[in-house]
Amino acid sequence: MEKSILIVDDSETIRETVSFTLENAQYKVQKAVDGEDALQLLDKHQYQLIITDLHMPRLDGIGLIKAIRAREAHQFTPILFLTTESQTSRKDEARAAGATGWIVKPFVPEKLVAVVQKLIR
Amino acid sequence: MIEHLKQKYLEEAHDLLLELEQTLLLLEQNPAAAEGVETAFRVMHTLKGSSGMFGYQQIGELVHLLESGYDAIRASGSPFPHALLNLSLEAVDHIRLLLDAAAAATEACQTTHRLLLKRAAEMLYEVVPATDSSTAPTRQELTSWALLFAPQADLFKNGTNPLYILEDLASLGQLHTFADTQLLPPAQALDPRCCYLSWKLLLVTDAPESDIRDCFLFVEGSCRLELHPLGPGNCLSSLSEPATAELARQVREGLSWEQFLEQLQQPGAAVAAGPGQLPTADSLPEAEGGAAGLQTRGAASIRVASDKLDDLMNLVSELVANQERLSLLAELSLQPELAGVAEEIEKITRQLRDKTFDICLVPIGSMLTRFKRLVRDLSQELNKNIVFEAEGVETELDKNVIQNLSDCLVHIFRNSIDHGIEGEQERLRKGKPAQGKIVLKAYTSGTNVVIEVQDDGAGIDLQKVQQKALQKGLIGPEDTLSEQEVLELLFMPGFSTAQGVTAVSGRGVGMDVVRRNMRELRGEVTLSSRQDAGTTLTLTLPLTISIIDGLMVRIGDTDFVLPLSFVEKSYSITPGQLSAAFNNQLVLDGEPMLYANLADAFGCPGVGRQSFGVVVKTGQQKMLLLVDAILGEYQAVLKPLGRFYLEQDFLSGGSLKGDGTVALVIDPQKLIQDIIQKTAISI
Repeated sequence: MEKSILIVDDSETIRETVSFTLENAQYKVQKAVDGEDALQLLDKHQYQLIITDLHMPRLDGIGLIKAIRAREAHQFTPILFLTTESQTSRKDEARAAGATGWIVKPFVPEKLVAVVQKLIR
Repeated sequence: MIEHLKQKYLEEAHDLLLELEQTLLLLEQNPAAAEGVETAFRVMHTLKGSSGMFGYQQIGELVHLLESGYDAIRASGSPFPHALLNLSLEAVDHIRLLLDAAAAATEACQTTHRLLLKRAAEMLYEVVPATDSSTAPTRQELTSWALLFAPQADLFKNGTNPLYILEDLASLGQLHTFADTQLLPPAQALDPRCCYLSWKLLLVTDAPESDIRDCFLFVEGSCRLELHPLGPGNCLSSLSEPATAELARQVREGLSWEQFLEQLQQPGAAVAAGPGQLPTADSLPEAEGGAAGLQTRGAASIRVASDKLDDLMNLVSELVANQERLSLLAELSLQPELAGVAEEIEKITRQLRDKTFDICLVPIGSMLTRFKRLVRDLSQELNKNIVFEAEGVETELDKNVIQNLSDCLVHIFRNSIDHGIEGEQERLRKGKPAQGKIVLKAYTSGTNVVIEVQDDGAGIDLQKVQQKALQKGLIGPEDTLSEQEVLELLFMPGFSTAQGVTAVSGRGVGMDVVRRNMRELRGEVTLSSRQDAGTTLTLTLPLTISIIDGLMVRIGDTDFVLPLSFVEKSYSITPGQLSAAFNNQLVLDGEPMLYANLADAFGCPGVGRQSFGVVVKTGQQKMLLLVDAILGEYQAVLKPLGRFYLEQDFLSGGSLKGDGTVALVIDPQKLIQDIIQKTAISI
């Protein structure tokens, strides 16, 4: 079955780059502009992987991760977050909220696909 | 493609800068506004992330410095310093310049950049990071490692699958895994949401330690991880099978990490120790290197006769069928040992099947470059404006079939470009778009693969064809032919309608040769054409063998298989929902969904409880199919149905099940079309 991935980011550039890269790697990608938007999509669809930014208006990344983990359908779905930070505090915070892993921005397409393949196959 | 993304980035960057500027001006009026700092931070964060990706490193480094400043303020909650505000505004102006490639290249701009970086660094007491001298991953000598991977019980809560980590490790080299099942509770007490296992691993790899640690990147905080080098070279080459089994037994029974290491280092024990006895990387026996898959990297391919591959495919399909039987018997026998073996065989069979497919099948997309090139070159040569599109390029075919097919298709393309599609002027006169179009469509239909080549050209002039055939004496003057019969003439040996032999066509291959080649592949080629609307050539090829992953469902007393690639979701449906349904639609998850009762559609004398619904998606069409029961996943070896089934097309084949009965494989595309047509009539 086709693997579908949800990308949540308020930056159109990031959304487009991530979806372009992943679609090229034969994944199905849906896009959400922030946490609230993502939660609405999550009500209706099941995803094999969720990729989210941490800094977003309305519902931010950490809040979104917590909300996802509270839903039974996505209790164990891998979640990746996008980060540019080198310090570990945000990473720990996101992991404690239930994230699976992270992608450091800027990333090269091969790296993104490699990280995604670490989590779903 | 990346260019249009870059355009998006530029637009967005300008928007972000505007937002940042506004925020900064607000902050100037109210330096204590925490919200403003938050927004500024977020905007810079976004800008930094995308800048790096599109090669705007200078913007990235400048924003990074500023961002760190804002982060510090955000964390400490202190009021906003005026100096940072000025610097930020200057930076905004400067970044606008940097976004313009021409302006960024000027000396003045570069000087400003260095100055701004220096000021920002001074202000934040931070040194500008040296440009990243990324060290190229260097392959090292073969090294042996012992690893302990003991995840916390709540590992799954973060969505981590430890199996993938082990698979990643295995891809680095030769891996032995020993699972510790001590903590595994009896089945009644087992909580499937907890991870009870831990692993001791032996790895021989030429990857550096950092690569090994990378595999555990995301779980570092939530597991106990130990890495212990056993020494250079392959220390496991002397690890005999009984010794491995013994080690596995001990680990299963709770051998501690320290004991495990001790075991490995014991003289005469599992692993050869002492540098003197160590076989080094280059003295390794060939077979050992081959098994590790390291020495053979980049090794050449081998040629195999294609009938051997056919035999292999046949054997695999027999194996799959028998494995399903074994699984069924194991389930019925209630012997846990047998179930374990059956499960293992199932896993191996699946891998073997995938590998075999990988060897024998290639996607049609692999031919595309050749056609793209052909269309481009030919259309330039003939001064025509033609675009080429392809659909269903992931459809797979036997390797040798693709080879032969490719030659036929080249000829068909040539015909389309040379005779089919008209010149620009003529197209415009006919009221068509100036640009001609050739579409290649490939799809699987039951046990066949269908390839269509469609052009929107002039179509075939039936009268001209008939005249020509008359001239050549292929038909008599008194023969009256139907449209289809006239088209068939094109496939007769020695027929060519080309007005004059151009450089493009008339190279000795006619449509008769295409047909002959196709017949050799046990395929068929047909032609349809409409004057001034275009021509479609359809090639139908049988798949030598076909194994599909399916979902087995029961309707009445018959089992059916739905190909898993079409299945989206399944629901439990109550009779209440059905009686409340309106206009053949059920509301599921807040969306209306067309449904069809398969027992009705097939005329099954089923009890008709219809307790389950499977959502099937073909192209844009979705439909909920009601079935009596869902039995589970099933690998179906597809066999063609006998001639009694020729009249229908919604069953693509049959599959022999483990217990000797037959399950019918549904072609969802055809079935849905069929149902929709019928309902349209009934409305």
